[in-house]
Amino acid sequence: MRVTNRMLNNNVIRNINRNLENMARTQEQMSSGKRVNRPSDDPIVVARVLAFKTSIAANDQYKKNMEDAKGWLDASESVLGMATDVLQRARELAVYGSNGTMPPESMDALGKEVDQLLDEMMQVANTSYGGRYIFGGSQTTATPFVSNSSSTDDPVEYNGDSAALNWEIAPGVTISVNENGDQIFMQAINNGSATESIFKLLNDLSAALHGGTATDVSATLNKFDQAIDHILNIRATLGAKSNRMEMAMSRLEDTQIGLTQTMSKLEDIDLAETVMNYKTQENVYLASLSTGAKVLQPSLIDYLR
Amino acid sequence: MPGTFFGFNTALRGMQAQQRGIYTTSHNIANANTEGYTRQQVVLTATPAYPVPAMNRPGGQGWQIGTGVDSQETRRLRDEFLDTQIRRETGSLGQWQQIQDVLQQVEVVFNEPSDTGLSTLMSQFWAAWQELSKNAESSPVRTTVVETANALAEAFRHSAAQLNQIKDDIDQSIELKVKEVNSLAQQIADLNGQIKNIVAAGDQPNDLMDQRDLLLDRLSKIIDFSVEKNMVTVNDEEIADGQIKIKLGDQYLVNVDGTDGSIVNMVAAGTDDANKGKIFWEDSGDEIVPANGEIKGLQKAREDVQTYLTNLNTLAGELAAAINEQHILGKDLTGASGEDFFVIGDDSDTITAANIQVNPQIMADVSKIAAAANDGGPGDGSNALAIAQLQHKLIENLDNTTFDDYYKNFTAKLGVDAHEATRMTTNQGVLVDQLTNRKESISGVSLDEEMANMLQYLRAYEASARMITTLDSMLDKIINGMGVTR
Repeated sequence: MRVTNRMLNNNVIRNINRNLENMARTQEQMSSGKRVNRPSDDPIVVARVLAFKTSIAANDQYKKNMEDAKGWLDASESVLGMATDVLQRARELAVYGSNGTMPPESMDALGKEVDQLLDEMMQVANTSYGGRYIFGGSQTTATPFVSNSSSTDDPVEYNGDSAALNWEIAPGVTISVNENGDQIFMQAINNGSATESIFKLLNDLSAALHGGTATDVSATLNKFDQAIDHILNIRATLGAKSNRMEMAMSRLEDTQIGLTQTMSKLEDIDLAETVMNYKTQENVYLASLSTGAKVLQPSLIDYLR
Repeated sequence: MPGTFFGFNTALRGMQAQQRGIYTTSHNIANANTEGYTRQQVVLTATPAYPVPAMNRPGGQGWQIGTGVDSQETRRLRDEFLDTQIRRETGSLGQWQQIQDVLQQVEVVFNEPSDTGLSTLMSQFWAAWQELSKNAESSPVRTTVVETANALAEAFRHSAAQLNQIKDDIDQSIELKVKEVNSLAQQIADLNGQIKNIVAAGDQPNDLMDQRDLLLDRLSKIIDFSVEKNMVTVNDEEIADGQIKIKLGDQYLVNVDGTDGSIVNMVAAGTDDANKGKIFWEDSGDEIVPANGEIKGLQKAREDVQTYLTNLNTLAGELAAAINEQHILGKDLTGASGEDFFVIGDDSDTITAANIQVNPQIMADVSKIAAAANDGGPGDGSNALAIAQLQHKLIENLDNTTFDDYYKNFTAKLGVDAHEATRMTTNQGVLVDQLTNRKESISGVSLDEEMANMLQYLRAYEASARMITTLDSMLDKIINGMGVTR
């Protein structure tokens, strides 16, 4: 084939350009740390990376939801632990007051402690977590348990509702993080025909100590047993849920590590390999420059005189 | 027998012919770097021998003597078949270059994969609703929902605006290309006129033809066409008069009218909304549908951009509809029923990517987010959860995919399209380079060759001149050295 000077020129320029382009691409990969920087770099990889990113972000949110749920559950559990302590102390006092040998003044003193315990139980039932009443159902902003001195049957009124706070912990899977305050405190004791509240029980004990009889006092004892069991059952449920959260979180964490690793394999460069590529491309580029300089120089003109 | 001074003429012709060769060599060297230049070559032939055979020819039978050389023509060394091939492939290259150029811009608009693209913003949007489902009474969390929703709506609007801008740029490019077509056509028509006059005078306008071929090469990058030679009848014989006609589709862009003048049929770009991106014959108003070239590439790219815009509008519209539908089922912090969460930001009737915006009432008062179910208290986030759960819902109008997948799919399609355009541009570039090299190997100027030719012509010229000296010394012998008497 006939070769002309312009052909040589064009070839040299084209090759230099191509080599420079390769270098620029590798440089971009090195500086961004990513193999793909735009969809056209590798459409399939980019689509997969986007899918991974969405999954990872959603999982992060689920993990956060589970952490928050565990926080609620643990807080509820520990509050109910305090309620158990209060009930146990009240039961002890009931045991003291029920032996029938105690003088009325001592009974009165026991009654005063029970009054304190009633106040304490109110506080426990009205515990707020992160500024929200945890036993008010969805009425998280209003004090759920309020004294009502006009009724001895219901010395405390429940102002919350029975709504469950359902949080999502996996696509389509929800868990209720709150226990129903009405059920915990207001329907703790089954007296055969209806349910009675813990507050009524403490109130009854107080009344019995403050001027009742030892028989009245001892009548409360089996109700305390019922109430303590009732709370224990709920605590067990909360504990089980909290455990479930913990397991689910650690499982999700494993999944996240797997997802992140796969995504990294897809999108991140192998630095050693990329630097090697770059060095090779740089050498090729320099070679194309120097051969270009040599090829373009001479023609017959240089040798004619 | 030839006459006494016979040889002088032969030698003179030799000198003149070699001189032409030298001049042509000089012309070639001078134009070694001229774009579109075709190397020229002097075609030398021996002149008819003397005497011409006849009954009564001088000197009797049995001899004929050469009379020297004549330069018949200075011809262009060019392969017309290659020209056609190069023009076709250049058109294809132009088409893919335009598509690649536009799609690269579209890729920048979507900016994926990144931490600032729509994909990330959508993830943040769903996460904000999840947070709200857990903290329905919290004003800061409500503000986060509104802010992420606002960021998402802004991203939709921004992307839509940029895609529309790209479309406008394409329309402008098409208008510019149309102007260029008209200008090239006019220049070709002008050259037609000059070339016709020179051909009619019996000469060969090589350089003008080079110029015209270069204009055809340029035109071929913009639009596909066919070239016909204009034939005229002279003495019942069809001969080419040097003019060419250019046909776009089924009509002539450059034609020759009845009075043999070269005329141009102008092209115009569509201006109203329905015709934007299309091109028409200015006179008849008929549409021209190019099959190749930059205009075709721009038109295809425009369609692609329109598809992405439509997809984006569908996504924004469906997202807004699904969220609004769920939002109005809920109750806000004051106990009132939910309003539309997303509203139309301009005076059109549907929510699109260009006009989606968060309800200004909700922006002004975040307690209006209807996070609670109908009978829920302030801490109830079940409606917020229902909205967050839309993330995994298959949406019928989005080809039964989720919002995230729909977006991911069309990003992938953009990637495939842009990738193909890049690949085709590269391949087409290599093909055009190869063809150009082949053309260059036929038509290009080789300085080595020209230098060798120059020496060859120089030596032949010198030898012819030496012939004259030799003949002169022969005559000197006859005139001054023979039969001298004192």
